[in-house]
Amino acid sequence: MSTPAENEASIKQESGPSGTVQDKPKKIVVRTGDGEVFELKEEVAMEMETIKTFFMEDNISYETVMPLTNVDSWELVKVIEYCSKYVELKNKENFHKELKAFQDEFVKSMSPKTLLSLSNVANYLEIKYFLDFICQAIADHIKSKDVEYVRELFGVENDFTEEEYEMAKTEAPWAHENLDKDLY
Amino acid sequence: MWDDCYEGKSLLSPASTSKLGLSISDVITDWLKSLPEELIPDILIRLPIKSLIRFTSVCKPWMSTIKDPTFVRNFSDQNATHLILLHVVQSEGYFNPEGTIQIIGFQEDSYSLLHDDTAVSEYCKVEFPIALNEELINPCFRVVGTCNGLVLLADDLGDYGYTFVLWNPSIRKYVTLPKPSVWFSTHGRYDASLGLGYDAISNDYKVVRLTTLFDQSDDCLTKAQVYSLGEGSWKMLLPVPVPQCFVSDSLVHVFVNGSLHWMAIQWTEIYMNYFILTFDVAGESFGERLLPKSFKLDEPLDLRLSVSGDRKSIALFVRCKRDSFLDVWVMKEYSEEKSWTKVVVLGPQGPERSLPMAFCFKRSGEVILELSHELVSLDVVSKGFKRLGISGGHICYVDSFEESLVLLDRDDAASY
Repeated sequence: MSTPAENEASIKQESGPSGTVQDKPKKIVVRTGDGEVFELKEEVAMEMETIKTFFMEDNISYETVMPLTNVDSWELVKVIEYCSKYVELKNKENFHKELKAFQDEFVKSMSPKTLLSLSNVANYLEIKYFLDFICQAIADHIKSKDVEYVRELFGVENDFTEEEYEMAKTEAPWAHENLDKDLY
Repeated sequence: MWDDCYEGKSLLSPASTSKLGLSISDVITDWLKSLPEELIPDILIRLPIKSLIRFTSVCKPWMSTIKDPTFVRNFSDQNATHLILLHVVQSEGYFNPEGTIQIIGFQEDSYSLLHDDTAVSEYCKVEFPIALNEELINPCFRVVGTCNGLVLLADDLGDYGYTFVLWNPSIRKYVTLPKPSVWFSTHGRYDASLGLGYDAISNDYKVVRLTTLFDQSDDCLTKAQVYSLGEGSWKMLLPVPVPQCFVSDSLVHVFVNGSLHWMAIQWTEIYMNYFILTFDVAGESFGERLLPKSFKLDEPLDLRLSVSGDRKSIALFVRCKRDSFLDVWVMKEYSEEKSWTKVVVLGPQGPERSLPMAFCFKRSGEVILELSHELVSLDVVSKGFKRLGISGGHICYVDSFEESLVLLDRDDAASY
């Protein structure tokens, strides 16, 4: 993300000889829960329904800094990375192929917990295609894992009794076979 | 330690968290800022069935989410894996004259699922609940039909049998139906046809059994009984009248657009006519649909209904062994009775000059046929045949199939 200093420089450059600011690409400013300020390109910010509604509904000026208290800066970095790429690829011919390649790389760089956090953020910011992608990535990750792994990952408590759990296992032993062995 | 997490590296190890005097679940729960409940189904719906069954043991909320009727319905709706169910019988003899199947010297039978795509390769073998075989009167069960991943099995291949089973092979569960009330010892000889359909209004699966009694002094009398999976019982359909008719092809039915369809013959004092008998599963009422043309009853025709490739309409296979032709008709627009179109006419094929037998349509619109003891697909536009590499044994059933979670929430369903 550009610093305020760099941004000012780019604004001066883009205003042109007449000094008007009509050609400047519009920016939207947000502040994350951990106090960081981000400038987003308008076209990227508008991919997020929550931000779109905030500004569009009551015609709020782009000078307002929108608070995103439920989003941490590292999460926003990732969201911007994905949405920017999506916007860039959207109208291209090889959209699906190139997006898939980008998605594979994107997932590789993240731990399962990170994916879960991002699904929360995607849901809060209301970015449907990003949420679909993250949910699919989480599903792909857990599909061959055992029950203990999934409990740890999602932080859910085992509220079955020993008996209940064993009974469920014996009813469908085939579903508990041939799983990934790694934990965490 | 926290920096590692920000950069997506490996998580807190049990050792480090205990150093902090925290339990793993404390840290993890805080870290997640509690994942909202609405996201869990959104993740679960994307999982394969085997994973879903396993994850019913994660915790009680997850179990109730996965077994919830809305989740089960949504899973079927978004499932994009289109399959074909295949039932093959190994026996010394296998005869399929009009309306019946006779098996001589039965050895074994097997079930498998194939991909409904260009290659039609095997998706997986299907394990059959062998405990069911103990109840059999006939050599094996017959697949009557499937609906939303539920398979209706009947023990009626030959002798009068009354064992009917609703089976979901994807989750390995089945329900044995109670015996229906029309049978040989009570009503004498009869001909029975079955149908399995889905009532979208009450989210229920129903089995319809039409029995036409022979030992009647008056005109033929066809009785209808309906079994509801939700109710768990049969009921006689009275006073809903079944049109004066009998089902001519008792092996095949079609379920499309909320109605069951059977090939039937109308019988009045003056004439006899082929027509399509329909049954609206939700409304539980009978109706009729016209065939593409009037077929003569005195001609040795084998009329067989099927579902169209897009699963939105019906198709008709007209096979005449004597005159060696197989006509394929499709009703292009289900609501338009005049939209019946003859899409292909076949004669004897191959070096053996044998007449193919049609089974069903693939989603792509090709017809799956049996030709010289193997399965082939026919492109109705190019008229090109493609061998599917499926042979060996007698093909008892081939038709479309979708995996589903139906029966998962039924505690009375048997598992195997």
